[in-house]
Amino acid sequence: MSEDHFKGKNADKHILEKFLQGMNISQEPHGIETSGCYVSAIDAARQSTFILTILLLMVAGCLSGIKLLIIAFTLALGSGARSAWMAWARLERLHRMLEEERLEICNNREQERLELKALYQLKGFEEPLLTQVCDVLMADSDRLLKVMLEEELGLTLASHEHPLKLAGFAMLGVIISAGVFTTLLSFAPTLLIYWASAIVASLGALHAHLLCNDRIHSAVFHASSTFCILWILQSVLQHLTSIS
Amino acid sequence: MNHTTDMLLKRRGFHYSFRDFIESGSSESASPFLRPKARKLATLLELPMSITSASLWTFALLLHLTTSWIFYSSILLTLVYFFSGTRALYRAFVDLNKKMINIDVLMTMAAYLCLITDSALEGALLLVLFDISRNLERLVTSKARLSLMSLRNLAPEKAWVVEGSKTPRLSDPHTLRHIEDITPGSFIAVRAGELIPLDGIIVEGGGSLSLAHLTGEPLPINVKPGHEVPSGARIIDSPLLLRVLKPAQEATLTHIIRMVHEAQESKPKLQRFFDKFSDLYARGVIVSSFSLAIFLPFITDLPFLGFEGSIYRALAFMIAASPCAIILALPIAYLSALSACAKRGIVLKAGSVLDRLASCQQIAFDKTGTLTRGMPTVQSVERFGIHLTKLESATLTLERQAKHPLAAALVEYLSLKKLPASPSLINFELHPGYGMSAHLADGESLRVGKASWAGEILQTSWKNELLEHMQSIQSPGVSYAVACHPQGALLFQFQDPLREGVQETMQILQQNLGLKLHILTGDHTSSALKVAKQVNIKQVHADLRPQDKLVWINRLKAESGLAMVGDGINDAPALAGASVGIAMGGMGSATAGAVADALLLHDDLRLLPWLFMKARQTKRIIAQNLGLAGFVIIVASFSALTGKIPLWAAVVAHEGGTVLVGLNGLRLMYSKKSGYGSSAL
Repeated sequence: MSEDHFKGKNADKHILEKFLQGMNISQEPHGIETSGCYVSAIDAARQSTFILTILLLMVAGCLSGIKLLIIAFTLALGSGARSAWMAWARLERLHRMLEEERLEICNNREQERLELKALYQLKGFEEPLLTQVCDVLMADSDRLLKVMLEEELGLTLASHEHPLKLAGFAMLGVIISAGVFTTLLSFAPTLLIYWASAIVASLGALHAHLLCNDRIHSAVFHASSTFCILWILQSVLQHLTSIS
Repeated sequence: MNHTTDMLLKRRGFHYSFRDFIESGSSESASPFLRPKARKLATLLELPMSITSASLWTFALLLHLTTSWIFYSSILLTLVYFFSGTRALYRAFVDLNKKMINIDVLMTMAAYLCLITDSALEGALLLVLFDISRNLERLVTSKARLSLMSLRNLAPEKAWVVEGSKTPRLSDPHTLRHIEDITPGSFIAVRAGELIPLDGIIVEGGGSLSLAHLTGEPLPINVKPGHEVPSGARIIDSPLLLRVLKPAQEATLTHIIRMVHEAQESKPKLQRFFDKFSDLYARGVIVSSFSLAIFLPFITDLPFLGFEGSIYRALAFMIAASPCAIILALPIAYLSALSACAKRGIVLKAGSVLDRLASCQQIAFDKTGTLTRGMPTVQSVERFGIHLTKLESATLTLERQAKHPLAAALVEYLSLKKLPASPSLINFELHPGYGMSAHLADGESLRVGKASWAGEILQTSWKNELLEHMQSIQSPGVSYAVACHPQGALLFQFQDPLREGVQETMQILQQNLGLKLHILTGDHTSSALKVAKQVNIKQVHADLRPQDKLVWINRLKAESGLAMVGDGINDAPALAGASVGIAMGGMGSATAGAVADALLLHDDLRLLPWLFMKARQTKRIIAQNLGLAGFVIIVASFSALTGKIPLWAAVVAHEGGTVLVGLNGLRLMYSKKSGYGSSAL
């Protein structure tokens, strides 16, 4: 029975494997850190600014203001759908993981006790305290499941936003960035790649700020990478035009 | 723990019960991974999405009527197809993947084929109606499923195990264990006021044991070492040490929970019939449509393609034959009736309850808490000796400290009397299984409880008179308590009185509505017969355990449709097993409410005749609606098939019939205020 449950491994190896599985499952659609709706909005805004700039560079003559707005609206819907879908997919996997763990607790109580012991041994607990801790946790199914999800699988409870809220913020992000984009476009169309890079850099800094990362590093990286990519694209397009 | 800490813990999921999530069928609205606010959002999303679709469709229809705005109408219809169609497509593909062809598949096919025949408006309507009816059904079933959790939450899952010696005692150290980890033969301690987690035999301790959850009997029984006690009972006033007799899987409460689930599973025979019929109908229409598309050109001169082609006609046939009118007709009739019932304080969990109720020829009633109030009340007081007003005041003060149901009845009775201020009492003491005692400030003893124990402090002459009198008046269904001080005694008689208007209601049910009435009770035969005589019910089955009630329900149900009216957890299996379970929503247990099909919110049995009349009216109107809807479908589909009328005319006939049956269903919203049960309105 024990061998079946651990699939030929010992409790320690089983726990490590489960932890990695949990980490993999809990990954966010917008990076592995805590996402939240603001990150979702910034991510979608950054992406849409980039796409709109590329589109303008490639088909500048054919895009009227209305068409640009329609494209922006479509991008907003697409970003919302993408955010919602990825968040739902993650939630589905998390629920499946929870159900698997619950069934393990129901059907393999002795093995779960061994896992629990191994977990707390790794945290430095020793007998007789170790057995007492295991007894207390084993007595309450809810508490045990919560401990196993958090300690064994590395999942965090009550921390995710609703997929539709993420989608809503993603759409909002695209709409705001498209608004800023079109406004700037009407004032300085020739400086497109400069201010597009500036928008992406600002969004990068905001993203870093929300994650408590280095804002300057993020802004510089985003500005530099976006500008280089857009500059190369513009040069290539100009070169191709001159050849033709 | 302060409020802020508690809030933080809640936010981090520390107070989360995974049972909620599991019982909800992994619903997003109970997901432990979502933030509490996100869970709330998920709860709010289900039905409103369908309503949004319906609103979008209405706007699309209005825009469609004006020729210049048709473009915007098509944009809105696309959104309707997205909101309602995505889910319908998903369900249809899941069913097809399981090799099932049912009404879901037919409706979805018809709705999407409408796009080919340029009837997107009709297709979108199909999707919206189907979506709304599905969501309503899901809402009701998920509520019922969630409310069943109350039964599971009632069952304790932990117990204090006493270990360390071969002859353990209550004073030995305890360890908290999950009941799944406790084997028969182990010793467990149960604290006063707690539910007994596993069936066992008392080794140490004793006192008043309430079986209200299991048998519905409000008066506790006295237990002592050697007595067997079932899980789910509550020990009121004293701790117990038990030797476990059965593992968790065989505990009495687990057994009741299992019985409830089994009874619920076996219930919807009528529903299964409709499901089978609708599956056959769907297959018939789909197969006919494909056959017509393929074979019509061979037996007639019709071509395959074009507006006069067989494929187009087969599509028209499939659209016209889609049961749109039936899908609208039934929910409107049911919703109207449900709304009329709700206005009168009757909650029905599904429209089909009315169907089943109309076919019921019998009603079984639980006794305690259903026909009677379920709470003992003081019927009379007899007085022996002197200084009895002082004794009454002191009794009121003393009984306010007790948790026993008779103490509550005493407090209720004595509080209504204008008694002088109570003399101060000291040395309060609870005597499990006997009563309570205290001393007055002047040192005089005071006892309230069992006559034999409380009477011990009486002067001999009064004591003998009291005991002799008690022997002469003993009667079934009556409980007694005595309050004593040395110079006098008060003898209180308690009874569980009938609910208001029960006798008249039973008469109407039997004579005017022709229903056969039964009493199914866990109480003693003598007290059951006494109540049966008062309410004029001839069929009485007493001394029944929950499983016995279910056996009787199944036996009676085999004769004809049977409604069961009850209130306690002990009635839960019978309520779930009956054709229709009706629970007392006010006083009744949450479990009875969870498994029942209908709830009488104000515990008013006088509404039963009105409910039966409404159910019969609903059945009549639904029959009319089905007839009308069927007629419209047949006329529209055959006309579309033979080409006698153009497709738009078939669609108009189709929708016209739908509106007619909808209006007919709305009649159920209104009911005459006179008639049976009007006294309760």
